[in-house]
Amino acid sequence: MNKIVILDEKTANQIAAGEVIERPASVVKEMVENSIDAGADQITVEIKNGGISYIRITDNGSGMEADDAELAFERHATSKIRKIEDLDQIATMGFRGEALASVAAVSHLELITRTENSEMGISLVLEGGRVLSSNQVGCPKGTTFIVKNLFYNTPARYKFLKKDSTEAGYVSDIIERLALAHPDISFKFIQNGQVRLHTPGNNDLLSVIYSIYGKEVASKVLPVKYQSGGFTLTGFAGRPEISRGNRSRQSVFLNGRYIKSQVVSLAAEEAYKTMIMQKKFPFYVLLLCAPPGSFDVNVHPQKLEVRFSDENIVYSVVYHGVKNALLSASLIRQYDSSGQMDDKKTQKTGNVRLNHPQSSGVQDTAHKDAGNEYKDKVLSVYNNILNPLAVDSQEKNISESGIRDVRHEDKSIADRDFNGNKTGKEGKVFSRDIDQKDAVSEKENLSRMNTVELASVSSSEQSDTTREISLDFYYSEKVSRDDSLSHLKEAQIVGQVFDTYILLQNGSTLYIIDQHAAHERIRFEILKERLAKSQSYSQSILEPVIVNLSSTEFDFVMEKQEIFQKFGFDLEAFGSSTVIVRSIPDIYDTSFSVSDFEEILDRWMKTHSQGSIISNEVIYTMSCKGALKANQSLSNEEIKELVKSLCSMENPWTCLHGRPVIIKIDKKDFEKKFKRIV
Amino acid sequence: MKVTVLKQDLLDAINIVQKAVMPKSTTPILEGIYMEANENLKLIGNSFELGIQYTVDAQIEQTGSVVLNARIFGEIVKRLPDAPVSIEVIENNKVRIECINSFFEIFGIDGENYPLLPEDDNDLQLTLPQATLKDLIRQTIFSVGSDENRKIMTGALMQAENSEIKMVTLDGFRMAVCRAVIKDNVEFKVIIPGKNMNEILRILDTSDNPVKISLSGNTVSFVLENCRIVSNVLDGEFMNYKSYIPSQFETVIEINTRDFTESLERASLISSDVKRYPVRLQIEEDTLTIHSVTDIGVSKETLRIENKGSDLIIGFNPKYLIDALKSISDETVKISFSSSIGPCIITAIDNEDYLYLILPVRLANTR
Ligand SMILES: Nc1ncnc2c1ncn2[C@@H]1O[C@H](COP(=O)(O)OP(=O)(O)O)[C@@H](O)[C@H]1O
Ligand SMILES: [Mg+2]
Repeated sequence: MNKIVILDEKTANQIAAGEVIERPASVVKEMVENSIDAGADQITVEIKNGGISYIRITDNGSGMEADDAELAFERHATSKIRKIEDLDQIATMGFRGEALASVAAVSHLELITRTENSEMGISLVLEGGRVLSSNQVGCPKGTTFIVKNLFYNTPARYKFLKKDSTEAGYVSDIIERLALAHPDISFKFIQNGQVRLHTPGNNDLLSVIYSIYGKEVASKVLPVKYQSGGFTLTGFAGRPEISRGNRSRQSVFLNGRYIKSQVVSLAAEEAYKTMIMQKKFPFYVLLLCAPPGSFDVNVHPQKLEVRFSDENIVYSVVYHGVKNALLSASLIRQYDSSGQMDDKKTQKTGNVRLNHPQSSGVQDTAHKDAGNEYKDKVLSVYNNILNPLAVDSQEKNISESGIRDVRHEDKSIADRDFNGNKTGKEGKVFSRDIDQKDAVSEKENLSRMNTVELASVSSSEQSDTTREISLDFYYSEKVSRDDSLSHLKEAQIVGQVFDTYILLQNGSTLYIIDQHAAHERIRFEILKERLAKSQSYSQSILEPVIVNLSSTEFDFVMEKQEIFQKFGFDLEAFGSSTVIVRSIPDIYDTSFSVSDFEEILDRWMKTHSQGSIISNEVIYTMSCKGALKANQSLSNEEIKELVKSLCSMENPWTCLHGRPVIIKIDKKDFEKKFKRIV
Repeated sequence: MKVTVLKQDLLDAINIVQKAVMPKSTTPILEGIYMEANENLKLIGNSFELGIQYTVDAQIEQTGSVVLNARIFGEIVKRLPDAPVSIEVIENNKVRIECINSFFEIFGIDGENYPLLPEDDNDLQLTLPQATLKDLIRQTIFSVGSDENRKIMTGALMQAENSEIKMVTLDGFRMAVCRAVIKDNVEFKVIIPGKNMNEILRILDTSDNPVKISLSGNTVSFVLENCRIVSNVLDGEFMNYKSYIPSQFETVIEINTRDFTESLERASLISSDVKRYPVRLQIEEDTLTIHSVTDIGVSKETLRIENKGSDLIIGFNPKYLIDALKSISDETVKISFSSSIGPCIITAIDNEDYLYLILPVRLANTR
């Protein structure tokens, strides 16, 4: 590592100052980033009282030379950049050279560090930024910082700290993000003597997800891999059923850095449209690799908000990347023998896991507050990309044909990836379940240790008993979309229950299909496809439907007459407030009525004002009208047709509002229910 | 009450009257079949919308009446050996059913309170052969509407005038009109629920035995030799169906009924009702090309026709054409097209016994 120098005044001022230490989480973030910069592959963070009374960060990185160690606490001391030109090409995480100084100024701090080449390490004790003592010590290679009594000399800032548990939650969030961004580094987080998180550092992102979110989530994520226009998207997208009521399980990393991005989250959520329910937010961990110069990270002092120079590309990469991941997998939900559908269950385990604050705190609120104005703006921009009706026909191709084509291509990438992972890592990850013994021994170790011994923690603690758990569950549940659909297609009809659900059986799997949801989905995709191909089939009707409209409605209909026609509505103005419908899309049967037309118009006018040309909502409304209902008995022939058509859908898994269309129950689950097996 | 009746006769009677019994009702008596022994054995099922009375020959030892749960009674009789069955009401409406070695005692309900069928006031009535009525219904019933919000369309119009009886059904996309000659000179007009028409269709046979239709109040009855069917009628005015029939035609063709039907059926093999696709008919001089493009594939067939008009391209839901063509027994039919977006009608070459009107599917490639 470079020697530390003090930045010249100009360079120092150029950097948006304002990186202030606000709370324990900020300390942890800065310190861990320094450890990462120092090339560590094992980092331990320990806190007590939410980090307010005690934070320890131990790494096995490069360490510092004795003279550098003292210099590091000077403001604008950094080994990472020399002059302003370097700012454009920042590869390392931190670059301001003021974190250590800021932390030291407001705490009791100890530093023990040794480089590879030094025989002895150095131990520094500081108080309020002043060096109290400096001694040579024997210690392993690497660095340990201990920060005690944060803000002891700044009561104003101390006052703003929240409850210990809240602060601990913020720290935990920071560590989770860092762990996700660095699967090659083993992170250990100890809170009040308990190991809260331990990632294996085996360079497998899925293992990190397993460690943080548990088996339930890790078994329900789909790999993302997509490349376009110099951008690469990798990571994992959660299956729809592990969506939650807030965005706390969405992480985006840009070139390894955790970011918040409206464009990315809009694009990702758009890809989930019609797969998840309203007010639910998908799980994802997305790693975006962007070419240098295509974004600006220095917009926000927290280094979270990013500005992309071409948001359209980013949107399209994220949308297609996530969408392809979702499309290439089988998304049939499994009924669990515990008697719950899986979404509920994951939520429950999620809640007991850590006494987390609701979401990631400060930054998250900022994200929300960014407001609808921006969202609308962005939406209207992307509408062009996604909307088949958009004027630009080139963009139309991206949205419709693009999706299907890439799917297959993408699937093969995904497959390759699996095999690679499987053989490479033998399908194993470390367990996140840390048993009590482990935590206790950790505590004992620490209490026995004096300062010098403490520095050796990093090496000793890595050898502790991390159980290995097989990732087999992950691979066994990865049935491909095509396999799953052909299994369903070949299933025998068992019958219909409550005149509402269709039962089918194949081998030891029982499928249950919600007939209304299925039919609605089919009609939705038919309409979408016809719209995309500009091919409408319009059934003429014996008695024209006569619709009386207000003048606003009438003007709207006239303005959109051509689009109505694309759907198959043949309209004619009669006077200045009446419209005569002479033919209707041929997906409708004879029950189509004035009120159906009015409902479609209503929905259209409502969603139109939000800037879209024609939203999915309108097409949903159209598909819902006249679809098979619950309490409608079906013949076997009808069931066969319905299932066959469903299997040819792009998304046969969920209805337009994200409720499942198909669920399956294994024979095993029956046996569990009847206590034949446990 | 005590009667002896042949098992098969009894089962036939039960199967017929059962159609009029409510499968579920809050009043148990309405879930039952009424039996009355007098000169012979009379069975009745009645759901108020439809009532059926059926008479069978039986040996009456003691007159009387009782109501038995239709489902249980039906299941028992179905499984009895082929032999005379004796039915006797013992105390408290308990019914004893005996047949060779089988013996049942089941609880019945007093027949006193059963709603009997209204009597006819033989005011307006006409008679025609069963086979003729059966054909009329069969040839029209498929295009009866199913939209409960447009109640009138869920009924079939039966109209008698000028020694002619007509049945008309329409569902919004198509219409069927059939007629037959009658001897009686009466004039009446009723709309009978399509559901009931289907039941009547099943009961009628293809013989020349007469069926008497009579109208009284809110009901219409169909009287056969040993069976009387009473249906409610729908209130309201039927559509002015004649106004839908175009008077000008661009293209008029004659085509072999069977060939056309089979071609259409083949074209629909690659379509389904869930994922519907229209067929495209292309008339070019004396050929008709039937073309279908779906998500499964493409089909194409060409038929010889006689064309008395201009060339035309038009789309249809093939099901509607097939339904109509299948009810026609003529070897050749005439199809008249008003335009590529207007209705077409299918009629006989040389009479007006039937007319099917079908609305096309507009094949707009809007690009
Ligand atoms: N864990 C560590 N291991 C090795 N060197 C470190 C570590 N933490 C800090 N340093 C050194 O201290 C310097 C100052 O750190 P900091 O104040 O965070 O500024 P910056 O990270 O922006 O350079 C770093 O440039 C680095 O050389
Ligand atoms: Mg730093």
